[in-house]
Amino acid sequence: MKKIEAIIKPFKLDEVKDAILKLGVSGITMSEVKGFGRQKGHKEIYRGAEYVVDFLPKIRIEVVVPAELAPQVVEAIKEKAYTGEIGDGKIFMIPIEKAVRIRTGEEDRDAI
Amino acid sequence: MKGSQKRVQVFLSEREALVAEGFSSETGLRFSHQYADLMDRFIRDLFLTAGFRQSNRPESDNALAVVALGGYGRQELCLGSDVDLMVIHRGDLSSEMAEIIRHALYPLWDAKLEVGYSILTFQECIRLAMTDFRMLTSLMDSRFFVGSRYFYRLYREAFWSRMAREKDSLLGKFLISRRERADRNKGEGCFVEPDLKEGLGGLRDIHLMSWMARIWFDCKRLGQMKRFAAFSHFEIRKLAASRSFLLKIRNHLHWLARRKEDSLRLPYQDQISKILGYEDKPRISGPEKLMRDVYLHLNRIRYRHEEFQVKMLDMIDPSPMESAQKDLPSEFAVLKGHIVLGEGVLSEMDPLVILRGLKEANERGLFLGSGFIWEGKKIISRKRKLLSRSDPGKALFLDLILKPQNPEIIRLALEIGLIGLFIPEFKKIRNLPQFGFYHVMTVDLHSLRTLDVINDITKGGYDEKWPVFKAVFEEIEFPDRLFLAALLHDIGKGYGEDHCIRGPQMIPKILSRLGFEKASVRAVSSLVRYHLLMPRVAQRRDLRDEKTCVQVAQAIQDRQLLKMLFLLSVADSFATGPMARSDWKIMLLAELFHKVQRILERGILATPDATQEIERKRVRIREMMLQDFEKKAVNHLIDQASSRYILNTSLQDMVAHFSLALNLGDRKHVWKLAKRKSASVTRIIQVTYDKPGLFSKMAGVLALNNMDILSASIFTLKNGLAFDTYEVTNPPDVYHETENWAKTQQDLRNALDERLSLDRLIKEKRDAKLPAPYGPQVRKKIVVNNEDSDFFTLIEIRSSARLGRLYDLACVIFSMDLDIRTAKVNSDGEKMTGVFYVRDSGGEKIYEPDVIEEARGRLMAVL
Repeated sequence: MKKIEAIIKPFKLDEVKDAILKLGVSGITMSEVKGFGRQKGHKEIYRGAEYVVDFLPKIRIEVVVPAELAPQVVEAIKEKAYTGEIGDGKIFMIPIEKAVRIRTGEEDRDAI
Repeated sequence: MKGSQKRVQVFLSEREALVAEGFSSETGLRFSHQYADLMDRFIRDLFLTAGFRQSNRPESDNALAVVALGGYGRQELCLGSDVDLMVIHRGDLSSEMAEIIRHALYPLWDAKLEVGYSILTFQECIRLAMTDFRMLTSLMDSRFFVGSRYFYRLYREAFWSRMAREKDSLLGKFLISRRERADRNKGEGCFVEPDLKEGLGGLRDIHLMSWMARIWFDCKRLGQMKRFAAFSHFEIRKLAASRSFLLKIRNHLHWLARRKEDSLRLPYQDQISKILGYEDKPRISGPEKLMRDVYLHLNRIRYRHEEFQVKMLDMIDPSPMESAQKDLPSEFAVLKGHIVLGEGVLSEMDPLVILRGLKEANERGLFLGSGFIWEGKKIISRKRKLLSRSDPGKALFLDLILKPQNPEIIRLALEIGLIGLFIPEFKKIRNLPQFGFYHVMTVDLHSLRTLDVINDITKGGYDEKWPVFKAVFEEIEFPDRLFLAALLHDIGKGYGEDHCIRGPQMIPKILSRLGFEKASVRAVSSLVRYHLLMPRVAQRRDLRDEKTCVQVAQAIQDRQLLKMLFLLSVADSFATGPMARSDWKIMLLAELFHKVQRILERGILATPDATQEIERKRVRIREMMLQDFEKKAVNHLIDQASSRYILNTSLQDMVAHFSLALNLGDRKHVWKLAKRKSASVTRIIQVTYDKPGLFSKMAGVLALNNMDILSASIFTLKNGLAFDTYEVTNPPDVYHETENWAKTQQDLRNALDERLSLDRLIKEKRDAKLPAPYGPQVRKKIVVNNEDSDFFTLIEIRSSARLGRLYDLACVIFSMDLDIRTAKVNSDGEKMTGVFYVRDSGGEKIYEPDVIEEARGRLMAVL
């Protein structure tokens, strides 16, 4: 099993979500986050301390899928979140050791 | 809980049994019905076990009904389809009842079904339907399941009476939804891997027809539309067969994918064709046969749907004839933008009227009315000879395909069998899929698209980027021949042999039947025979080598033919798919065209004396260099450069090389980068000290930095300097190009100093790559060729593409003491083709058979 975590531009969420669901993924977690990468927010000095302001609003989505489906999910996100502009985001793939569905106690593949 | 788990198990094993029994024997429609029945039993059982009691007391405050919606409601349930349920109730739902429903539904998730459910009041439900189109259509197919039947009937009446009141506003919603779906599904990818449900001609088109029939004509089944005169000839039965076929494929698709998957992707095409017994034949593979059927049914549904919609709109809103179009012959009229037969015109009296109608529609950018299309089909099937053998008939047909103004009308001519009537050979390529990396359409549609591209060229559609196309077109004396070749260039496909040989053999019969004279027949045959020559040479030969262009000139010989061939190659590439029409490839084609044209203009044998040409260029470069550099240094450097370098390099590149070399100083490596304008390609003009394996290092470093070499040429000077020119794809990150190039140059310098372990880095990068998506297999091939160049042995390679492939090949060639002097490479997604111009360490071509065999074997090993 793999977890795919992607940071994407907020307005791309619907497209990305639809593409992932189409691959047969049953659940997605999404959160609104702020951050910056190479796109960088600009720096400001306030009472002697340096602050980075302008964290940019992004969406983080997380899905857990069987390992063999992971490349397709990455491909789908890559295609749908693409604009070619700076700040399109990043995708991470992380190995998952175990998954348990709380209601039934099912594990791993049955639980995702 | 235990009881429900058992029920889930029973359901799953019954489903297995149903699949085992009915999958191959039943029609798609019947199988879906049977599966819906099984689902009904399962869910009803769950509700009863959960403590649900049937009640028919409508007056009770908590009357409720459980309803199946959407595909499940229609009993058109496929194995991975959503199981949509809705509970409609009045008043408040008791907590007891909510608990029962919860208990009844949970096992559905445990059975891994795609469940959708909602609990709504009567009013909520109708309100939602009016605001949400999907909800609306889903509710139209609702089916009573358990609960109060009487209450359900009340709800139905309320729903349909509301629908009747909203009829007019609904019409727009239906038309918009269809248009949006068409927009979503017109991409090229949607053709190779069609969506059986939402795609054009998919099951959704049939649902739309049924819904429209229900709302505006009160027909509970689509078949009842037959009672209207306008629909008396509507092919309901064929439509039902197509629907059943698609359902069958869809069920198999769901079963293989183990989920709701509606795109018929390539791996599934493969598997399903095997399951359904489509066998490979020499002329056509199993999957291709399956897809031929799929396209047939999708096309049928798509066109019947369009016909249905036009007829229906005519009935809903029979507006009067519009003001006549200018000069429209009186036998026609225009109705809602469509050409129809005028009052009192009978097609029986004069069958040519269909051809004249198409001509008018073609020229005016209109479409034909549905009744007219139907008449047309009737005429074509009944009066075949009368149409195809009459001279005016032929003339009208030719007028259509030689002046294809309106692609939709040409496509219509194909759909109603008109093209097949005049060119029966066309039937062989009808709906013929072509699996490969380049083609995204069936052969027939690709041919029409090629025709359309030529037409676009004539109208200046490519002027912005490639003004040369139109300029060349205007110099063509007989454009008709180009249009004919565009339509017929792939006519030889589907016979299991080379279509560039089969095609030209078929041309004389086709064209003489249509009344063309010998000169046209000859020209079109040649065009069809050579239509792949220019793209092949442009992509796989060194165009600086005079011999390459001379060989093409000898094959083509005629300047008119060359011009037509160039445009045909261009149109063919544009019509094929995104991979075939990359700017780089079009640029190479144009370069080859200009070079061959120059040779033909001055005569093949009249190539200028090479020694004079070299002397002229030497003088010129000396003059230019002396403006900035010392005389001694310049003269010295010119003496070092080989004649071959001077002959084969443009003056502009020479200036760049010389300036770099004269400014080299202590540095070991310098380069100058120049971006190409017409394609996303960068030229690297490079000067460095030659060292063994220079090309492989370059290939390795560029692969490491995500760039592909497209072409390379390497010249070594007597003093050991290497003057190279590379053309490579631009770095992927347009925002950090400078950094990217700086790092690449640093990597290269390290590699030249043996301080970069390319082998390891490339392996790491390759291992980290995600596995490639499924695609057709590439047949590996290596050809060693000593004929096409006077100075080099050509090694041609075809293989699947992977990171660093070029580096591997270059390392093998280098390890055999062979020297790569020119290379040309194409990586199109999954496929790589390339040619290396090599010679041995003594500067000779490779003639020894055992060396050639060894090279072949060792190269094969890394493919």
